[in-house]
Amino acid sequence: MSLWDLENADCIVIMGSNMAENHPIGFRFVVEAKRRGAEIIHVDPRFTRTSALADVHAPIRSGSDIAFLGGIIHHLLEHDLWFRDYAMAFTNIAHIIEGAYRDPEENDGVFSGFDPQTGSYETDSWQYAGKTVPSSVSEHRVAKQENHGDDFESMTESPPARDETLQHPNCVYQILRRHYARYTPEMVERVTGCPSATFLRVAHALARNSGRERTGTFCYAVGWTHHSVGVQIIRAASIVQGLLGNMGRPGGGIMALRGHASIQGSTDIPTLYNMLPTYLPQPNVFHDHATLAGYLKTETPPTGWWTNMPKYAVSLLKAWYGPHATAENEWGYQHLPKLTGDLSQQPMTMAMVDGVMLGQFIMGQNPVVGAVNSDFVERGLTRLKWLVVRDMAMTETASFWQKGRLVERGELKPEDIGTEIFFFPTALSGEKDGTVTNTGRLVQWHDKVLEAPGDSRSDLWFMYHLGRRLKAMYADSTLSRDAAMRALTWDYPESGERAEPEAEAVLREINGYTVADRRPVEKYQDLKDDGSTACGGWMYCGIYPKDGHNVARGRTPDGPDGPGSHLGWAFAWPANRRTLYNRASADPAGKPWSERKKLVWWSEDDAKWTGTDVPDYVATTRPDYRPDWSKRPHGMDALGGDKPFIMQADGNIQLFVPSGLKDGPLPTHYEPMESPVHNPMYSVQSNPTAHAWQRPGNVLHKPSDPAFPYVFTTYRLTELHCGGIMGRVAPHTAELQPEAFVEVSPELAGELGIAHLGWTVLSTLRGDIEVRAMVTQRVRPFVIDGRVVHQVGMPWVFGWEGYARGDIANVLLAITGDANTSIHSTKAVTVNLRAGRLPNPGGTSHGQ
Amino acid sequence: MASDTGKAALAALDTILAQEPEPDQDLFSKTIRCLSVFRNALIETGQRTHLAHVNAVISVVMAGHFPLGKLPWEELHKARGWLAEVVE
Repeated sequence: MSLWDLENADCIVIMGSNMAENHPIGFRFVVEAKRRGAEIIHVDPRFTRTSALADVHAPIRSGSDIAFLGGIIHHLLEHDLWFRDYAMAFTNIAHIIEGAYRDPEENDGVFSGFDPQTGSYETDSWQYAGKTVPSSVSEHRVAKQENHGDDFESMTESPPARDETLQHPNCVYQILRRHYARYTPEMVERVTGCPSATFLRVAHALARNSGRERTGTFCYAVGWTHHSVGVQIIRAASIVQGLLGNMGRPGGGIMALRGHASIQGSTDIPTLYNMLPTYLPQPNVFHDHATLAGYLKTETPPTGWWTNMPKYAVSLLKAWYGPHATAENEWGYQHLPKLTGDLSQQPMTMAMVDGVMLGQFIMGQNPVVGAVNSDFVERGLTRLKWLVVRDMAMTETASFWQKGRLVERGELKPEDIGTEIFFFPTALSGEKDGTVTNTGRLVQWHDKVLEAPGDSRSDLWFMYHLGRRLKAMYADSTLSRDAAMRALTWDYPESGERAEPEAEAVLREINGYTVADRRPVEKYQDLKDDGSTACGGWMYCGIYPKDGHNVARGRTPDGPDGPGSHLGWAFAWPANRRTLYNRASADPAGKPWSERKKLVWWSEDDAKWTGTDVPDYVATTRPDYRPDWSKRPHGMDALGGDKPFIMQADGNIQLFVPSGLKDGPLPTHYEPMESPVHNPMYSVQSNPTAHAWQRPGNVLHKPSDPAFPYVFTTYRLTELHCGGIMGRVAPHTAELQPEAFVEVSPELAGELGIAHLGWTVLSTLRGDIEVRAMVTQRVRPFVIDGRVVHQVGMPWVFGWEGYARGDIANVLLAITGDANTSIHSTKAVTVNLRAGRLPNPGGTSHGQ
Repeated sequence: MASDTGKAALAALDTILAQEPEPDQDLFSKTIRCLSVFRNALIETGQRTHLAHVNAVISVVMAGHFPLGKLPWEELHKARGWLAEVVE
């Protein structure tokens, strides 16, 4: 959904985000929704400025989100408050799951298929009865070995079995009811600490504001993702929204509040190790990916829109390798590196410490401050031979050798650190052409307005010239390992004294073109898998549909009486569509669910889908189209005209996920990997599939460890933008948040003898830091399972550089990973807290 | 020097294959460290002939340390063979 679509919501639940402070531009649409009468709810451990502008603040203990959301699911089902017409038509609520499926409620806290030896799941028992369901290709592959794609053909034989009466014991509805039976308001209070009456206010508000006439939205940020169950928290919200009919409709959806620094864009054209641009999977050496044919066969779902994946993959290869991509050489497929394992940031930090890598480029990131277990990161940086840091100001990552914690406490001397560090100053946004892709998939072009000073250069300039020089170095190589570098197209026009590459040329390549005449491809439906088209990212196709027409430059908003989709403002992928799956805004027959919430509908007169947004459907597929199963339909032919969720293999919202998740088909409450309480719901304490990469220097606290009794969470500050350095080096913002602090409740401060603005020491097995206390009622003690649990919180954006300084919160955190994404846990760990100061600055009593 | 570190890496890998630990264990980390030292020694002493083989071994052991799916035991045994060829 678009940020401005928040105005159309009748209820907005902000959870896992302090949106008012961390996404203030987007938050204005929340304020507008409230002005129009929407109920605003903030579910968060702290009372923040977001809470202050909400109608309801529901406090929950960090890391208990699934218990809270599971309670909502329970409430909706048991009180029959779900949007039945929508959910029956557009979700898998009536699908029947394999008889071998066992739920954690009857299986000692884990789902069927769990292998305790490997800590992973086999997903056979999670499948639709008689089917093997492919996951959407953009998702992470589960621990199962390849089946060559053949089993997925079962999806072309018949529709998944359903029980429209919802009485079958293994239909999703009944499984959901059993799974969440114990997530009562009382249990929610016991686990989360949120009073049951407050919880019920939230559940009632959501139910009251959903249905044909009304819609609600969830907004979340890293307060949901940075957990060992981060993906499952989002899943829980998607179940709520599926049940309430809040997907694909005006004012309905789940708004992932991405980072300001084009984080959405860096996922689309990814900096992620396991994806090719626009969500194509990176080939894997352990899968049947030795050839392009094998890769496409195993990764292309036979049904739904992703059946088009070969067109996108071949066009991408053609864009990258140009004339060197031919049918005879699999379009250059063998140039792509094949994954061997998890190469995400956390494992690579471990690998850096172990000496695997000899050099690193750090661009747009400051891992000494922003990555967990800061001392561990520093230690890894000392093992490098070379380090390139590009940033707009000196960062801790570039100056660790001189001012780092290891040096400060005498563990290392600068002269003993062999890492050769190259610091490159960067151009800021106004000093370069380019795009920013915001949280609503909105790609907005910006022009350079002034020249960057001194040696500062754009990231594009750096990457282009680095690539150019590398190509020159390898030009005469005959080694096969250098073939990719030689084959790479790298022909962007340069201009000016600085030889700046043309950013629009890159955008044109991403948009795609026909190879024969280099004319832009107008839409992704025109891409081919025969080498006649090239496209750097199929979802961005249409952003530059004609020569000289950069749609991302568009700045024409709808007027006050316009439709409000603002199709003339920039470009939203794909196809300039603002709301994904918007066919769901119409009922199965193609009519809007209500006049008030209409968006896209079937026009009988025009024999096509139409509306105020770009329809997310095959334009001419009638709502009453049904697959002819006798013909083993593939692609979109296998989805009925009443199946809006076209990226899924059967076109339905997956309330229950048969494939694609590594930690279960349903969200289940597990305690965070560090918790002051034992899991009140299961004997299994924490997510059994999460990654705990424990080793000396990265040791986790045991559950209920009395040495570390407090819940600790981290967050950002409005005044210190992004990772902090931009605000810390600017005097006018630095003085607004002059130094690091920890927020402590008056009750805990009283217990520990901590004075407001007095010094405190925070300790974990990873390290110790000292900061001043902010004693405030913004944080409150919780009563969890009958006893008081205190929580403290601290901004993670401080370091030793700039004017606003302070100890680094991430010193306290361990390197761990969510099973699906390997993302770290920053929102719920345990610490000790005391009044006083450290004996030695930068010293530590626990960490190595 | 290179020979000694190579033998240490091989011994560490043999321990992994004998014990078949879960992926996050120290054994993998120790093996990676040994292999990295061995690789660096090959580079520093100009013995680049075997570098590609050792890098391949590192990749496979990393796959065992940080697997995306099941632990690739079969490939780890193969990698052991490659390493043994280089060291012995």
